[in-house]
Amino acid sequence: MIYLDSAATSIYRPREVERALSRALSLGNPGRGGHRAAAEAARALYGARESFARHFKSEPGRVCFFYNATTALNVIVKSVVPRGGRILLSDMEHNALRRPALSLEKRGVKVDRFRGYGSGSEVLSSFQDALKKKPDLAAFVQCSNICPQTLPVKELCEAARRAGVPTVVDCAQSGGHLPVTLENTGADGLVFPSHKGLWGIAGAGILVSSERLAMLLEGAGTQMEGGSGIHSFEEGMPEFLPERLEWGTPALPAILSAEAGLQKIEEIGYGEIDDKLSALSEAVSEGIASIKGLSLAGMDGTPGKGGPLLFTRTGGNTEELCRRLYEKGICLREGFHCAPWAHETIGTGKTGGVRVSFSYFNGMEEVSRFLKVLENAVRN
Amino acid sequence: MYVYSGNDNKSGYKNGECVIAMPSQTYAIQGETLILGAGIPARVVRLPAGATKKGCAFGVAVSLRYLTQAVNILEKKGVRHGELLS
Repeated sequence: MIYLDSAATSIYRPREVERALSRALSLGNPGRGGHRAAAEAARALYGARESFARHFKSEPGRVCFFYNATTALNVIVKSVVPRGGRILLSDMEHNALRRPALSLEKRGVKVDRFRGYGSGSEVLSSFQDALKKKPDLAAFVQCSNICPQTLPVKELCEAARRAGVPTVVDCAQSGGHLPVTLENTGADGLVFPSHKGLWGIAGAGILVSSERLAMLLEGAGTQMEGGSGIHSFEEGMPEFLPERLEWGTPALPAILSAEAGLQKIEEIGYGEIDDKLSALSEAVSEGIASIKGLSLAGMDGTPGKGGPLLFTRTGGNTEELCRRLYEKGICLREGFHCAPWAHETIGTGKTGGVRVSFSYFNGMEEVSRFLKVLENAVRN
Repeated sequence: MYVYSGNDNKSGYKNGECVIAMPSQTYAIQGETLILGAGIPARVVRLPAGATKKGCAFGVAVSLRYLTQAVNILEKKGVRHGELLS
């Protein structure tokens, strides 16, 4: 099997992640009880908060764990944007932001989109125009999940800050690949899934929040309620983050696995990860470009190195092509990738495409074999 | 601030120990870490049942003689701590 679908989830996990998972199996429920198993679990959970806070430049009390990145984004968007308010997104968003925004639109919220595909200055200019309408929140993806387009997050957040607009960045594809922090972006919130670039298992979404976003979330009504381990008699959730946004039992295995993945990333270094992903992506990009009948889409904007690649087949059946690839053990993803806006924006709104995405753990020999299989499948 | 003097042998607290109530277990562990880091013995404890009207809660237990110092550490670092009694 050659797995080139790491944008969907990572199937490669370092040993450290496996050990963290093994440890998690014997932990109790953090904050539920005064016994040793619960106390050890609580310290493990706090340790994870510390790790994420240190890495992404926040405080442990402002690191919140949800069940996935989509839940985190839903909660932020629905908490911060009031009824009748306004939200600003890019035209490259995944359904993790598109759908909650459209759901809010049905409740009277205005949804504006800025141009997320183009050069950095084009994207920024479009964003600055949209800011004039004074949205309550600007939420946008850093790296597209269908092509290498990378938004100029630092510049966007700076512009939003000057306009008094809070920002949250969907780092689903950039987490673990780009050295993003609250400090170097100026964002108010960064959201990561546990199971992609952080190399953990699925089951956690991590919000790293600024003081400003934390105050907004603490001041807003809660979107969900449940057990919190404290203040059992109170009808509502605790007043403060993180417990205010963490209902029910935390997904400790997923959280600790992501923490272990993050620590491995720190050990390897973003530079080495970026070099590896760039080399893989470049090799595949050149290979696809040389195969007659295939063309890459979404390459005209600001392509970041190492991001996913999307190709289409001229006048041919892409599904049939993918079926042949799957028979040969090649794992890719065809279709619309839960990102219809992004496909419309880059011109594949009617056809969709086939996405190839990379992991630090992929090897050059794998991509070489993939390209040979792809070429044969197209020719025959 | 909630301060409990553990002299009754039923609460699980040591003699001369008092408990700084914290808003959540996250802050209790954070507070404990900071206080320990200053060389003051401290530990996270559950507040006794009925100690607060809100229900289950956590705090940081320190010796009474270190209480002022411990609270100062929390305030200097901006760690939430506070009253749970109403």
